Amino acid sequence: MNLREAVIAVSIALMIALLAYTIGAGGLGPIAPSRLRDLAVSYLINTYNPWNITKSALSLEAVTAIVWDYRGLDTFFETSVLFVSIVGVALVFRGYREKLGLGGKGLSEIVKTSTKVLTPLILIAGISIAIHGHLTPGGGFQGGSFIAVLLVLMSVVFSLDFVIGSGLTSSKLLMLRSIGLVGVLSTSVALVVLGIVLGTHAYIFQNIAREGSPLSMPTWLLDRPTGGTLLFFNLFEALAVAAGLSLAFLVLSLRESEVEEALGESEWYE
Amino acid sequence: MGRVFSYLAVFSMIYSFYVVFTGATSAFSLVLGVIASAVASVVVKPVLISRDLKVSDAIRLFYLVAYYFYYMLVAEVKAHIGIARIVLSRKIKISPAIVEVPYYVGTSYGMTLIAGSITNTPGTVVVQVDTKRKVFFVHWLTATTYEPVKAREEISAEFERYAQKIFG
Repeated sequence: MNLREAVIAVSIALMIALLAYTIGAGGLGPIAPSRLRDLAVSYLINTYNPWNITKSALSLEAVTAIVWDYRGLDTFFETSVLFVSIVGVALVFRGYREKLGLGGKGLSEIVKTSTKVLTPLILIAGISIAIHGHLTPGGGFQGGSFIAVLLVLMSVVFSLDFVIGSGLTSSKLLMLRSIGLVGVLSTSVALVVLGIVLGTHAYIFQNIAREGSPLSMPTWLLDRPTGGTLLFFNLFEALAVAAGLSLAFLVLSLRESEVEEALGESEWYE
Repeated sequence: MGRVFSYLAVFSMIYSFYVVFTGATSAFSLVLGVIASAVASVVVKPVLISRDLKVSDAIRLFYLVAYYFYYMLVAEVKAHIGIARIVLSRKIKISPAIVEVPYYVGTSYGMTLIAGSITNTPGTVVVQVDTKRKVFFVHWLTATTYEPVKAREEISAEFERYAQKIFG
């Protein structure tokens, strides 16, 4: 070990020691109290509280309950923003069309075959993250992003030609994305529609029965709680996100010059 | 009937992975997993399997398990000891070379299994494959021959014997 390495090692050790001392002495602001704040306590008590369901989301996962129940309207608009941005991407690339024969052979046969075996496993892992969103960390967005990796992987390993040739076109992806969004929307108004039919009160984005509106989404499936709307939200969100991110990647990975060459410039800018 | 077996094979692969991945024991997870796996297998089956499976294909699973134990307990251990000996010896005797190794299995799964087996044992790495001529280009740390057929005897003949039985 030469002098230079020794100096580096000592200075790193010194930095860690000083940082630890500073944080320990409260120099970087107060250390988080061991006592929970009132807001956290209320979430922890109410997120899964079968004894007082009028304040509960009946979900075992507090983050998903907050995201899709306590502030569900917020999340709906976030999903809409993502949808609008995907539409924006499609708009910027207007005139985009899938064109076969752009070349690109993908990676070797060995990588292709191994990826082929991985494909269903990635798909099922993404789905399972989505359907357990109200029980374990994860949820619709995470599961959907997981699935969207598939298209990235496929276009790198098999080439973009293969992806388009296999039928994953942008119009189909946009349709899947829309189905997901419509699903989210229908879930959020499901109880309102039911309320109108039955002649009782219900709120938009209502999940479990509240004071003055006794309707509830189904709360148990077999031996686990479903978190009412949360299971549906996670499922549809996963579909919407998977299709949306895949679409964005598909459109963005197209090389303009190649398309111009294949289509002729006038067609591209028509 | 063959198609049913193909779907069943894909389904059981996906579902068993699902059970392991989620660590599912609740009826909720197990039942939803069946639905999700069924959907997934309908989507991916045409990509995964090109010919319809027969009942007699089930014997291939036995060879797969046998190969797993042979590979992990015999082939890997042998290769590791060989490399460890080279790494620890005072006089390092190596003769690195890239050699051609032919293969004769008919399916891409069999080819991939051989290539993966060669690469995963220390000392040999598949750097490229030519599927038209059906040869691997293998980087071999302790090359004893440049003859393709002889090299195959030393590197991959045993792997291929199993790969032929498992994937054909």
